[in-house]
Amino acid sequence: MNRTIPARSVLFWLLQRVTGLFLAIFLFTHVKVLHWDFDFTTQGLLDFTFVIDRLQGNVGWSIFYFLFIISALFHGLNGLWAVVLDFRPSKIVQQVWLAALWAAGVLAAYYGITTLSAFFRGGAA
Amino acid sequence: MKIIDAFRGTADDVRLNPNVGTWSWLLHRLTGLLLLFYLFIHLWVIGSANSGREAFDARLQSVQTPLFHFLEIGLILVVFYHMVNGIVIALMDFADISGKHKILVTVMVTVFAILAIITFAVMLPRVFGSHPVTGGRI
Repeated sequence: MNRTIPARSVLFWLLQRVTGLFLAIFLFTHVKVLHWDFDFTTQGLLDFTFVIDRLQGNVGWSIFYFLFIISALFHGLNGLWAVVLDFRPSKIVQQVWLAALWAAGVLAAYYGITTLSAFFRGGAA
Repeated sequence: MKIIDAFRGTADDVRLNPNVGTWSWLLHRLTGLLLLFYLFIHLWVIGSANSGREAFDARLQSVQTPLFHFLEIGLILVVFYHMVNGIVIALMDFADISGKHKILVTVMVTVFAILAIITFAVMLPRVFGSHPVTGGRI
């Protein structure tokens, strides 16, 4: 067995680990702030005002959520790609999946970042 | 037909190797797919902010009923399982300690149990507590 693994596969394997470790930090923070520390029985339901108070004018949170959106989408869609490959699809089916995953990722990232900026603009219509 | 064969292959893998590694692999896959599905729903819910403050508050209120608060606990447990198991995978890849897999699994289960207990202790009473809108009934 002396198979060469393409550099792109190695890069994506590494990125899956890196985004995974990022997500562990981001998601733990996200869960702690919004699901453990925030108590809707005393503080009321989450709403726009709460989110905006936290985000607006805070560069730290904007970087946090920007990286969060990108790494979650990459990690999730690249994980799905690994599942797809396990089914040993033909080359053409692989190409279709790859195009669909990239399209979904780019569109969702654009949508997520637009949403994030809506909070910083104070909610735009 | 081929896809059914592939699913059958996965079922055979689990049946022929009924050990901790196989189960954690299968659970990692299933929780991962679930979280990806949830991620898109989450983007859609939060995306209502693009239509303004009122639209966001209305959509967010619709997913903050006692039933959703209860389901949220399950979601967070899924997140924690995938997170802790993922850290084990990364550790085995980077630190070359796959020989200590059984110890790692014990540590993983312990960490997951602690996170699960905290999640239940913090969040479950709120589900049955006084809800700001509905008063507390699921």
